[in-house]
Amino acid sequence: MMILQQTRGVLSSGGFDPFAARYINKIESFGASVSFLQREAINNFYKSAKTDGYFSQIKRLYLPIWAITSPNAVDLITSTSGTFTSGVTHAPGYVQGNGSTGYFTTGTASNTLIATGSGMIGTLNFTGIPTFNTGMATSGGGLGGISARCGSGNSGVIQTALWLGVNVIRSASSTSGILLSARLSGATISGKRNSAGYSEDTTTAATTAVMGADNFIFMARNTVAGFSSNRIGAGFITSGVDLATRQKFTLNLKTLWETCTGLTLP
Amino acid sequence: MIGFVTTQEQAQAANDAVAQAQTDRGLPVFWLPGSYPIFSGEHAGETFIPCDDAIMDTPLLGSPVMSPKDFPEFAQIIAALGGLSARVEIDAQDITAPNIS
Repeated sequence: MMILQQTRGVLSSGGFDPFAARYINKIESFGASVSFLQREAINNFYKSAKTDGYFSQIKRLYLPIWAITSPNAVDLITSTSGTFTSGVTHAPGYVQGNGSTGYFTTGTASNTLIATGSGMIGTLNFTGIPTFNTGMATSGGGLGGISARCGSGNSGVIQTALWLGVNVIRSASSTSGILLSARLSGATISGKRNSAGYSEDTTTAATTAVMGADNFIFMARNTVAGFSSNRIGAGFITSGVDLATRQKFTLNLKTLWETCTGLTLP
Repeated sequence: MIGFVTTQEQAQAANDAVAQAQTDRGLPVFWLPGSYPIFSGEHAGETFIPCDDAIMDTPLLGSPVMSPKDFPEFAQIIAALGGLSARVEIDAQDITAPNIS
């Protein structure tokens, strides 16, 4: 007699991931409405990250798609919360700063999250052309050598990755997509994943500063200038990861965001 | 931009009160109005707390969703700043730090 294997959707793969369950429970307690499709997508993200071996390297990951401030502030990795300031619109699928006062702080010192010589930061930039020198993800505080960010530069719409004195400026017709700034093995990397795929440029040189202790923030270059008015669907901080992992992580994040929001990454 | 112009100490106190309204409920501090030094204009040297209608309607928490106006502490914090009629309008450039490259 043939025994038919029963499938139970996501549950057939060894059960629901505990991190996924914890995150969903937390955001629902804050008022988020999470559909079955979104639960599956969140669960699949965690499982893929663990299967691909980079989950433990993710330090912070925020998915501000829930149209409510408190669920949007929850970190998928620790389930702790950062803080949004006023001037941020919380829409289905993304948050959008007003370009003057709105930003998000992790509330955690940058140098406890990122090493001087190894790390990755970035945002899922849904749409919008950043104003001059808009910070998307930054260690905040002073400028020059003591910042790590990605955003527009002073020559129009281009992607910029700064890492403690070693910068990569990429010519680009659009800054929509998952934009990242990374450092590994003596090189600064500026990467982007969009609908066309993944690409990056690198610059190899020694850093001229060390990571500072200011709180890591998203959506601003620091807390008195460079506020973003873009639509941001995710923000992340990881330890240093290689090219294969940067590609897998950004693809996984793209899938998560698109499935949960029903939107398409440009 | 619409909000309150006040001293740094009062701005900190207002933000602390907003934070306490969250922690008193066993919540993390997920939202603050913020406080921004004013670098230029007639209010240069003072501190700005954003507080326009959109900010007061920010969806913060729960289902049905609560905004800042739905918290009892909101009225007290606004009163301590002089009431909504004490708000002024300033230029966004006034809170942008100069010489930031």
